[in-house]
Parts: sequence; structure tokens; C-alpha cells
Amino acid sequence: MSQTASRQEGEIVRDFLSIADLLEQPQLARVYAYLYREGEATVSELIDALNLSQGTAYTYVNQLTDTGVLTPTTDTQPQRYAAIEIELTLTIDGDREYTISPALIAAVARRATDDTIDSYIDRHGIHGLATALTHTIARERGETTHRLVADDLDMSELEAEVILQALRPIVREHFAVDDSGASLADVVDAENLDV
Amino acid sequence: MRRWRTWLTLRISTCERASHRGYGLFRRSRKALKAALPAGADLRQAQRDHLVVPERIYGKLIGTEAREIEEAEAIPIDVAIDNGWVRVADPLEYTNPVVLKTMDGIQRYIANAGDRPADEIERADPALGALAAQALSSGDVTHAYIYTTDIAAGEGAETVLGSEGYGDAVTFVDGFSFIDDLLEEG
Repeated sequence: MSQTASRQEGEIVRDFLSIADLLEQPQLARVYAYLYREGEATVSELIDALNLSQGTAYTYVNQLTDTGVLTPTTDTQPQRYAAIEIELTLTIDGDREYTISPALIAAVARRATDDTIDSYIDRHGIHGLATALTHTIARERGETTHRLVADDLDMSELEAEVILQALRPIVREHFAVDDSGASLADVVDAENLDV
Repeated sequence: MRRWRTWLTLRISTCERASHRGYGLFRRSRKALKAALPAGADLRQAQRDHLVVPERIYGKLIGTEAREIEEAEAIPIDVAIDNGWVRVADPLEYTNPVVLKTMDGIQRYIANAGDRPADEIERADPALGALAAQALSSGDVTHAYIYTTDIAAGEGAETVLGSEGYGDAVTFVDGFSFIDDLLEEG
């Protein structure tokens, strides 16, 4: 194997491990997800937005920059940082496929504040959350229903609906999904309910 | 009976856990309903006919799964029924060809949307549209609103009922935005 090839392989493994860190540590995921959503920010903006201590914020930003998922965007002080787009597809046993994307990292980031997502990861793992996220996208696009998801994931309809609802805001933020159906305002208009 | 124009819409709710939140809308519909009712008509009866849940979905709402809801002391759908603003529909009339065609049509629609065999599709979602078909074909109901959080089920019902000639009489209301709107209104 050429040296270039082995160096590239080494970088891929390094990237993979740094992304694994993001998935293991919801606080790191929060920093990444915030920067991905906002475009870029300074450390002091992160401190305010995510309610971090100064020391913690610098530790997280340095760690994420060292592993290559954040990048500084300015040369002047105060330094601004942006998130690098991540798209990593893992194939396991030749058929199970998981995609690690900013949406999945955003879902993990919610673990810190969302009990539904937190306990779902405890019970089904990060790969289980990745699967649920894929089903949420299909559901929001009208390609499946919560009853079918319950069947596919071998869980109760209520459990399926609860995780689909918890992941819904992330899907709507990260993927193009058209609104469908009438709204309350449409019903009120059609029925003259304010009479 | 039931001649009070568009107020007599059939409302079908699958807002499930959050169904009790529909009370805000109900209160406003009741005001409108009262204004439209002929003198001496039974308001309570009219209310019960207003929001209807298919038997098959009611079964799911009170089933063992509903007992997983930790925070709820009572099952929301039963509270709504006891308070007289939701009614469980009579069993679907499968001898009515429109009901049967709608049921099968929605089942196929959901199957196509997800690229899977029609016999895998559970009949609870198609039952929403089939109940609307039954009510519309009876001639007693002029408009059906179908509330569901599953777009495939709502759009399927609109599409299939449209092909049965009820295109103008059916509206799918997105359950999620409906709940958000109700909560915003406080």
C-alpha cells in the first residue's frame, strides 16, 4: 500500500473516531449542532447560547477543532468557528446501513434536554436512534405511518409515535419537507367558527 | 334530522394522546353549533355527533398501550367521551360498497407510498377515511374533517374519497399543526 493511501486511511479512521466522540458526548454534539444551525459563532456566543462555563466552552471548541469537525473562519480576534458538514455511511453485516449526519448529531445533542430522546438512546442505542430518524423522515414525507413504524421497529404504536414526535423538529430543520393538510385557521374559516 | 347546514360536519380525531386539547376548538364549535341549531334541538346530541372516532382507533386508544402514559390518570379519550364531546362511531358498514372501496383504496394508497404490500397495512388508518365515506354516503353529513398526524393516512383519505366524488366534502387536517395552533391559542 502506498504511503498516501495509508495516510488517507488513517485520516478516515481519525474522522470516524472524532465523530464517534460527538455521538458519545451530548455536550460536544450540542456545540456542533448549534454551530451547524447558526452558520458560525464566537466562543462567547456559544457560552451565552448554550449556557456553558468559559472553561468548558474553550475545551469543547478546542477538542472539536483538533478533531477536524469545527474550523476557525477568521484570523482576527475574537475567533469565529463553523461546523464542517459530516456525512458518514456505515454498512454493517453488508445490509444494515446507518447514516451519521448533522441531523443525527442534532438528535443526540437534544439528549441533554429531551427525556424522550435520552431514554430512547438508553434502550435502543445510537444506531437505534439513527434508524428512528430515518423513519421520521419517511413519516414526515407521507411515506409511512406511525403504525407501520411500530411494526417495523417491533415496538408499541405509542412508543413509535412518541419518538417520531420527538425527532420531528430535527427532521423539519434539516430536510426539505412540504407542509400538508389543512390548518386550524382553515377549519375555522371554512366553518365560520368565530360567529 | 341534522339539517343545520355545514355545522353538521363529522369530525374524526386521531389526535390520540392530545385529543383533550381539542377542547378549545370544541368550545368554539359549540358556540357556532348553538347559534345554528333550531330552537329546542338537543345540543348535547348534536355535540356528540360532531366529533367521532372510529371504533378500531378507539380500541387502540384504550388498549394496553394507552396505559403506558405515565402522567395520565385517566385515558384522555374516555374523559372526552364522558364529557360528551366525542363519540365512538358505530361499526363500519362493510356491506356499503363506498365504505369497502374507500377502506381498500386507502390501504393501497398507504402501501404504495411506502412501497410495500397492501396486506401489511393495518386497518386503523384506512378506517378514518372509511368512516367519513360512510357518513357522507348516508346523506346526513355535508363535510368531513379528518384529523391525523399521519400524512399518508390523511392524504390517502382525501385522494380516495375524491375519486368517489367527495372531493369537495373532505378535508385532511394535519394533526401536528392543529395541536400546535391550539396550544398557541392557549
